[in-house]
Amino acid sequence: MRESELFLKRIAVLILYLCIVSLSSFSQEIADKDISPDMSAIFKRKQLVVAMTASDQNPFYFVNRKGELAGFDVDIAKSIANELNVALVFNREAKSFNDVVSLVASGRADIAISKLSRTLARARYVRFSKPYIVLSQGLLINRVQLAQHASDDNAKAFIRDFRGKVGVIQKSSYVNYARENFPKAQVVEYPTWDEAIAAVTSGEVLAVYRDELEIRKTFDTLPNSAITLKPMYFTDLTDPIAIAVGYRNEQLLSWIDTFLEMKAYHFSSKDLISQFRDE
Amino acid sequence: MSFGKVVKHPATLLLSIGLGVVFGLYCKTFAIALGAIGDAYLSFFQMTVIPILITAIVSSLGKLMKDKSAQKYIVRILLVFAIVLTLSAVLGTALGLMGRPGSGLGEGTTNTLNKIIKTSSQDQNQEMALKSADSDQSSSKGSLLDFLLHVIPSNIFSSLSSGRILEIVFFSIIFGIAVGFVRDSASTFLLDMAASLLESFQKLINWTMYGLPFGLFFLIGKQIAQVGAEIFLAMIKFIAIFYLGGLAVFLICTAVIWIRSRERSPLKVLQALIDPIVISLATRNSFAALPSSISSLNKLRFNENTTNLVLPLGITILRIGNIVYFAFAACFVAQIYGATLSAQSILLIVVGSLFAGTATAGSSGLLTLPMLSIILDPLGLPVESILIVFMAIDSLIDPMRTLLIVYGNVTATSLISDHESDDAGSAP
Repeated sequence: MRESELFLKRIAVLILYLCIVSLSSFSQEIADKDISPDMSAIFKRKQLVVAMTASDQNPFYFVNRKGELAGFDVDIAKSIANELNVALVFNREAKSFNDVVSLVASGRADIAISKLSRTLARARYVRFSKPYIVLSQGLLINRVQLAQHASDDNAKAFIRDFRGKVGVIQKSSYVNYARENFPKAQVVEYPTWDEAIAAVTSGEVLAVYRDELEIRKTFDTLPNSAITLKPMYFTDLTDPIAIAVGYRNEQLLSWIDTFLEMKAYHFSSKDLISQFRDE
Repeated sequence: MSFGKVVKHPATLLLSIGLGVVFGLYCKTFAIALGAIGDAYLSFFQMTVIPILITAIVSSLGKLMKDKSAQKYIVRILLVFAIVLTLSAVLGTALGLMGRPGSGLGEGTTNTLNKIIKTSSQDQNQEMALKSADSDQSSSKGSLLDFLLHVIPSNIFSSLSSGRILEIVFFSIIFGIAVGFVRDSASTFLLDMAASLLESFQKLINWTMYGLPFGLFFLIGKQIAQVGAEIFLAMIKFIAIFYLGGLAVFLICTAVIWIRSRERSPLKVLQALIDPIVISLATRNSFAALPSSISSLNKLRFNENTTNLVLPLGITILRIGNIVYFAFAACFVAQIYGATLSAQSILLIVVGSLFAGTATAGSSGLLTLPMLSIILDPLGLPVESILIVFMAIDSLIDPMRTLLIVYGNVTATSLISDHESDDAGSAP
C-alpha cells in the first residue's frame, strides 16, 4: 500500500509541474504576439490617458471641497485604470465637448469619460461604448417670454412647434439636437452653461436646451429660478452618455463594454441628482 | 339679558372669533380635527341657500312684474350694477398700482416664493412627449362665450342637485318673469307659496344663528391652524395692502348704507349687519351669508321685495371682492416680473378683472383663482408659477374677498331698494 501511495504522490507532483510550465509558457506567448496593439501600447506606457473638459460637470467630474477631482465619471476612470493595472492620467485641455472628441480621435487621449453624449456627428471620428447613463432632455423656458407666445393651456403645442431663440452650449451635442428637434428655432450658442442660463433669465433667448439633470441642478443652485424659469422635460428624447474611444482602440472598446456590463454601471438621472444634492 | 340676546350680541361673536384664532394658533392638530364641527355647521347653512335663492327671486320678481314697477327697478339695477362693477375693477387696479405689493420684495421673500413654486409644481405640467401630441389631455378652460352659453340649464333639476348657482339664478329669473305674466287668480297661490317658503327658510336660518358663536369658533380655529407661517410672512405686504384696501371699501360702504338707511349712527348699521359680516369672514362663502344679509337689510327697513330680488342676483353675478382681488393680483404679477404697464395694459387689467371676476359667478374658494388667466394671458404674463403662491395664501385672502362681495352687494342693494320710510317711487 505504501508503494502505491508514493506512486500517486509522484504523479501529482508531475502533473503540477507540467501545469506550471505549460501556464507560464502560455502567458509568455500571449504577451508577445496575441495581445492587440492598442492594449499593449497602454500596458507598455503603463498609463491610461482620460480626457475631460476643462470646466467641471458636477456630479460627473468636479473639484470637491477638499480640492480633489471627484465625481461619477472620475470613479469610472479610476476603476478602469485599476482593473487594467495602469496609472491614471487626466487630460483636461479640452474647452468644449467636441474638443474632447478631437483629443481622443487624434490619439492624444486614450478615452474620454466626460459626460459625453453619443451623437452621429461624433461617431464619425471616435467609437462609443454602450451608454452608461441615459439622461432625458429638457428645456428651461423663460416664463414671461413663454406667456407672451402661449397660454398655459397651449404651452405644449407651442413647444412642439418651437419658434424663437433657443440657447445651447457651444460645440455640444445639443447644437445638433436643437437643429433636429426644433427645426424652426434659431439656435444660439453660448460658451458656457452659466452664460446660457443668464441669457434665458434675462429673456435674451426664450429657452435653453440641455439634459434633465442640468436643468434640475439649475433650480437647486440658482436663486429665484422657479419664479422666472419653467422646466419642461421630454419623455421621448434621450441623451445617452457614453465613453468615447479612439478608432484605433478596438480591443479597448470591447474591454470597456465588458467592464461596464460586469460592473453594472447603469444609473438614472434621479440617482445622480440625489448624489449631487448630497455633495 | 336672555340667552338668545347674549348669543346674538356682536361682542359674543367677536369674542368667539378671538378665541377661535387663539385656538387655531396654539392647538393646531386639535383645531384641525374639530374643524369638522365647523364644517357641519357650515353645511347646515348651505342647506337652505338654494331654496332661499329661488324663492326670493321668484316671489319678488313675480310681484314686481305684477305691480308694473319692475321696469323702474330694472333700469336702476342695471345702472347700479354697472357702476359698482366698474368701480371695483378701477379700485382693485388702483390699489395694485399704488400699493405696489410686488415690488421691492426682500431676498427672504423671493426665496420663500421660489421654494413654494418649486415644491408644489405639478409634474404633469413639466413633462411632455415632443413628437406625439396624442398623449396630452388638453384641459378645457372655458372661454367667455362658453361661460355665457352655459348659463342656460338643459335640465333645471340636475342644476339644482349639483348646485350650479348661475343656472339656478337664470332659471329663477325667467320663471319669476313668467309668473308675473300669469293671470292673478292662477299665480297668487304660487307667489304666496314662494313667499311662505322663503319665510320658513329664514326662520330656520334665524335659529341657526344661535349656534353662530360656536360655529365661528371651530371654523376660525381650523382656518388659522391651516395657514403656513412661512408663506404668510413672505406675502405679508401683499396681504396687508389688500386688507387695508378692503377696509377702506368697507368703511365707504358702511357710510353709504348709513346715509341710505337713515339710522342715527353708523354703529347701528354695523350692529344690524354683524351677522353677514362675520359669516362671510368665517365661512368664506358668499352664498352662506345670503340669508342673514336679507334679514339684516329687512331689519334696516329696506323694501323687502327689492332686497329679495337684488341681493341674490347681486351676490351671484356682482363678484366685487373677486374683481378687486384679480385686478390687484394682476398688478402684483406684473410687478414681480418687472413688466412696465402702459396705459393700454392698465386698461386691459381693468377690463380683464371685470370679466375674470364675473366669470367666478356661482363658485367660490380656490376654484375661482385660475380665472386670473383671463387677465394675465392677454398681458403676456405667466400664470402657472404665481398661481401656486396665490393658492397657498388663499385661506387668508378669501375672507376679505367674500366680505367685499357680500358687503358690497348689501350696499348696492341699499342703493336700489327704497327705504320703507321713503315715499314710494322717489329716485335714489
